[in-house]
Formats: sequence, C-alpha cells, structure tokens
Amino acid sequence: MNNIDKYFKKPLQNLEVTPSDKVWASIEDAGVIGKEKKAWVLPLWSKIAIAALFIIGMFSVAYTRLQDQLNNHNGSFIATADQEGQFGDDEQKMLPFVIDQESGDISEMEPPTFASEESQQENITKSNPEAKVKEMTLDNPYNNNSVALDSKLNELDSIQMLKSLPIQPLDNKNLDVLEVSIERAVADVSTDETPLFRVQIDPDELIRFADQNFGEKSTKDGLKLPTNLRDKLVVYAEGQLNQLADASGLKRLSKINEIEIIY
Amino acid sequence: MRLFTIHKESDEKKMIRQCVDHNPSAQRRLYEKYAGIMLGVCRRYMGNTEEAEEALSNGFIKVFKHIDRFEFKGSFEGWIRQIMVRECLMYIRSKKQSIMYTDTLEDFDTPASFEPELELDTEELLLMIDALPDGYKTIFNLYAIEGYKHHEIAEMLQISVSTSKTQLMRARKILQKGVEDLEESFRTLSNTNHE
Repeated sequence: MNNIDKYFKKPLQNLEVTPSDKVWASIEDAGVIGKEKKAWVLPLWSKIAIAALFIIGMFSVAYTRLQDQLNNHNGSFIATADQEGQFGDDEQKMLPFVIDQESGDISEMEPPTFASEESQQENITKSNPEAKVKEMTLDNPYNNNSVALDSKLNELDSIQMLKSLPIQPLDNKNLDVLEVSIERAVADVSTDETPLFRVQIDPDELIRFADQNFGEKSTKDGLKLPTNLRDKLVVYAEGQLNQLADASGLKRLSKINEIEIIY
Repeated sequence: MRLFTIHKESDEKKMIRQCVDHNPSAQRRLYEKYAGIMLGVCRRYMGNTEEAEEALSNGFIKVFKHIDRFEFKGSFEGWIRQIMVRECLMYIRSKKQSIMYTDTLEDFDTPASFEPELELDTEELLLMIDALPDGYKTIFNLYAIEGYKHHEIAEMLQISVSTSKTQLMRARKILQKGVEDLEESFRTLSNTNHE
C-alpha cells in the first residue's frame, strides 16, 4: 500500500461521527421499524377469573396424572408420610425408601442425585411398620438418571440432560438441522478455564426429546437439532452443572461456553 | 466418531434475528451500535454532514428492509458498510451529476516518495479529502480507505479500470502536495518563531 494511502487510512478508517436525532426520525418515518407491543391492562375481575381457572386447571392435571400413575405402577412404590411420621392422604411427603408391593419389605433408596430436601427427610420415621402406604409409581423414565463426572465428582454417577428441557413450539425457518446417526451422545461442558464435566446423554432420550419437540423427523439414523435446541441444551446444562457443583461443595461455574456432543 | 460443537448464539446474532422479526428495540440497538461509524463512512464520501446523514438514513432503511438477506457469512459490520458505500455512490450519482471520471493519462506520473514528519489530526485529513474533486475523492475513498480493488471500483462506478487507476494517482498527488505544503508552512512558521 502506498504511503499516502496509509497516512490517510489509519485515522479515517474508523472515523465516528455522532448522527443527529433526525436520522432516526426519518428511519422511523420510512415505516421499517416494528411497532412496540402494547402492554395489556386487564381489569381486576379478569385477573381473578384467570387465576381461578389456572388453579382449577393445575388441580385437574395433577389429579389426572396421579390417576395415571396409580394405574400404571411397576411393582415398586414410594411411601409418603405427614410431619409426625404418620402417612396421610392429603399432606404428603416423599420418603427416601422403596417398598416392594408383593413382599411388603421396606428397603432404603439410593439418595437422590441432587438432594435438596434434607429437611424433609429428617422428619420422616423410616421404620414405622404401621405406616399407611400410598402407592405411587416409579415408572418414570427419568428417575434412573446417571451422571459421569471427572475425578472430582466420581461419586455422582450420571444425569440425563434432557428431562426438564422446556418444550416450546419452534420456528421452522430457524432450523439448523443436524442429521446424524447416534451411537453415543456425550456433552463435554467446559468452563473458560478447563473442561470440568462430561455429561452422558442417553441417545434414546435425545431422540425422544427431539421427537417431542420437532415432530416425527428424528430417528436413530437421523437426529435433527434445531438452533433453538442448542441454546436450550446450553442453558439446561448450566443449571444442572451448578446444581452438581453445589452438591459437591465445588465452586460454581461462571459460564459455559459450549457443549460438545460426540456421536 | 464425529464431533459436533454447540455454541451459544452471540448477542449480535440474536439482535440480527430480532431485527428480522421487526423487533423495535433490537432495531434501535443495532442503529445505536453502528450509526456513528457508518456516518463516518458516509461523511468521507459526501463532504458535509447534512448530506452524509441523508445517505446514512437511506442506508439504514435498506439495512432494516433487507436484513433477512444477511446470511451470517462474514462480518455484519462489513455488510452494513457495503450498503452505506453503495448508498453514498447512488446519492453522489443522483445529486451531483456533473462528476467526470476523465481517462487522460497526460500528467500521469508517479508521486515522489512520501514520508511525512507532520501528523495531522482526523479533522484536517478529512478537510483535505473534502477538497478533492468528487471523482478523485470517491476513488481514493474506495481504494485507499475501504480497500476495494480497481476492477471492483470500475464495476461500481461503471468506468474503466485505467480510469480508476488514473484518478487514484491524481488524488494521491493532490493529497501529497497538500500535506507537503502544510509541512512547509509549519516549518516556516516555526523558523519565524525561533528568529
């Protein structure tokens, strides 16, 4: 490059001049700027009605799910009890042991992976043979979570990443489709410094999640991951890993930059 | 085994997607981020701030209208800058029809070596570019500042490559003389002060 070019280019290339307000005004006048969405102001009676409907809806869903679970149990049960150690029908708490339906034997369950309800457990009398048993199914595919961590976290064995990812309708035009056949899916979650966790994802769960979210397109031969899912995975992993860090007394992760899925 | 990396979407990418959906606050953020530097670009071509602002506003209208055409290949700033430059060229073509891109090679000589001692500030450099004839100014801006090639400039301005080269040489010559004259005046002034 010519010397005179350099002499002028350096200071002028990134020249900044503050525009006057009329520039934005004329852009707005051209009609290319979207309209602000007006906030809806609902009258009080509408708010009360909506809240009531919501509560009724929640009760209906909870009741239906309970009925379904009672109808589909697989032989093991979680017992429930009230604060005094008596098992009540209305006010129930989860017990950390399993009662076999046929033999009636009570055996202790493995502690929950991310136990945060220690106070509940302390209030429970484990050996009360008079306990009334409320049957609840364990037939939940997400209860067998497994986590594989680095050496610091070996005792916490595994977790399934996808269990609580929110299901949202997706905008198909943003689909950044990844079609792969999956044999094994692992998410390596790294911090700014070093990789800390390796989270195993059950391929079946991945497919199930993709199916739930994106219709019938995903199979073992072709998983489709839209852009939106990528973000959800990252957000979800951040939450899960911070829970793990808390449970293990480790420093929380500041930010997760990327997840790698090996397949 | 293959490796697939998931990256979090950058804030800018998110902002662009929101602009595609005509989200007004994202559009305002985008404008605030780039308006200053793009007005700097327009100002170099237009010679005064008022006309530069007109080109800037037309450029941003095009950016918002066609932002869905941005394919996330290359830098977004580069994409906006291209739109602004083209807008300036259109403006110059429509409002200043008298621009002549002459192709005569008469006084086509290479400027002597240029090693200035004096460092001029941005405002002074801008004034020197403003003082160039429009054709020279446009080509000097496109080639020396924006980094376009002669064949690209020829296509954009619908002139020949040799015209582009000639005009650039003349612009350089004028600018070099301007800087040297200024240096000379400073030298004289400083000598007078010493005496």
